[in-house]
Amino acid sequence: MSITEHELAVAFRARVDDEADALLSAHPGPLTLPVPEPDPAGAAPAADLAGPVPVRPLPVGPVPVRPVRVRRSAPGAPGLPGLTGPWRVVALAAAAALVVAGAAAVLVGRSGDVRPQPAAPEPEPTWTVGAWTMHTDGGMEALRVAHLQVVDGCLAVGPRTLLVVDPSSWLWQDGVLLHRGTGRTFELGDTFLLGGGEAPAAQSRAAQRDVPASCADFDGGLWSPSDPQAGPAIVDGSGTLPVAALDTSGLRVEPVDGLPAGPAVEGRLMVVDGCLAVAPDVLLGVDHGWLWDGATGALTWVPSAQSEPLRLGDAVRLEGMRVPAARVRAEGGTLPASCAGFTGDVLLATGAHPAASAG
Amino acid sequence: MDSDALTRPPVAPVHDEVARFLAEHRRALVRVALGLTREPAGAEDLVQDTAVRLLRHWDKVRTARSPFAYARTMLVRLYLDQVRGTEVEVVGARRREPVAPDEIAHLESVDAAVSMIAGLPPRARAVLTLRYVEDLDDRAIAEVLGITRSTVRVTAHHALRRLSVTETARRGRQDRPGPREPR
Repeated sequence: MSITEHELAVAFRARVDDEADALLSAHPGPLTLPVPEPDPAGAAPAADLAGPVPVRPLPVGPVPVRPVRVRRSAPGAPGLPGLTGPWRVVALAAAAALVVAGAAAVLVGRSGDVRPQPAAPEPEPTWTVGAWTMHTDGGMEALRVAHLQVVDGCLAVGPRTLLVVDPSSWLWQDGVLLHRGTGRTFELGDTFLLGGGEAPAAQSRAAQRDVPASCADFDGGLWSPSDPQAGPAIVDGSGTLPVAALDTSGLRVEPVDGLPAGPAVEGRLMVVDGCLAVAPDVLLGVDHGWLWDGATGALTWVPSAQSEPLRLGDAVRLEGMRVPAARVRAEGGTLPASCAGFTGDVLLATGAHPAASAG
Repeated sequence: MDSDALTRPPVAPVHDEVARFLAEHRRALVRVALGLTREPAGAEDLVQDTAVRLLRHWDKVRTARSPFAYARTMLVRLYLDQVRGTEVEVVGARRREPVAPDEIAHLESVDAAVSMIAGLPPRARAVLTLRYVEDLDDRAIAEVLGITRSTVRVTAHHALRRLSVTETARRGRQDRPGPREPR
């Protein structure tokens, strides 16, 4: 029985495939290509060849080889596996030294212990700062930057101004000043805006009660606070007040029915949501006629620069047009980022003279 | 530094290209080499020698219409060049019909016929390899071997007759094994 060409072809191909599989599985790696010999025509001319490279002579003689043992432990004393010969002596000596040092540390104390030890509990601070307390029904008459500190042993908002607190609104306890109405707390060193009013201590002394003895003779001013401002605290460390002024340059908002075009707002220069404002619900928009100096917190009406600038906390009477902030945005005005979501009104003080009045 | 050195292509990219080419076509080249040499070590050496030639003539290979076909031709011709001196001796030793009555019995086995391919002259093995392993027609085989189509047919006829294989009437490709992708 002879075979056909087709049968031979199929069998031959299958045999070759099997042999190829066996060969490639036995040598799966890639072929090793010879490194091409440098072409003599491409050799660099002698002038481009570097000179002889200095060769540091190798040390001649036997090089000590330290046996390195990894994982596998050689026979040794308990606790010193794998250490034999001189290394065992070194290890034993080191261990003995540690034991002696530890015993000495125990005997002497903790002087030899370099590890950080938990600090001894500090005694609870005893606050001897008194708060000048008075009961007042006065409203917010001004706004000032308060830097909570201690002057003559009494709580103060400035080096020349003590803080007088109403116990019904404020609680001074354990180094924390708490405003009962808002829940805001202030600590020594905090800087914030605080509404209220100031009066000479000498004039108010007669009306005060609960005057701390340490500051009974203080001859500066007394600041009677109202509610603390909800705006962000002003950090005066750099001398710059991060208060933005709404620039209304180029913004033209026509008066609409129901909106007064005359004297719009009587209020105080304050900060609301990080923006200059004249009332908690009225931001102040200024154009080129106004100059806001964030470093000093002064607002100046340029045409009357010779007059005193307005400062935060000053009572002001500003002319202008009061429009909803949403309309300012609709007209193309851009509020500063911090007060971009402000929902109150904006006083466009363009072209108006401030009628400042001392607080 | 001569100007030719600046315009000469760098060596490393050619080396990498050849390496990639061989990685892609190594199996196919090994199959052809096994069909020719009929033994693994010889096939491996043949592919390795082919790789050296590829490295040397890579510019021609990569610009060829079919780089693999070019490389395959290079491998086959390299093999024939290597065995050129031994072919006469092998053919001469087997000039007389080697098929004995007991061998005829073996030929009834397809596997035995395949095994006897190793005893064929190199050119005959090349023809059978290209025809059955690479599934080339006579014209393509003639191009690879650099011979005429009639020489291909005669060589195949003699080889099959020695293997006691009943030749199929070659009416085109329908009588041959269908195309098969190399594994």
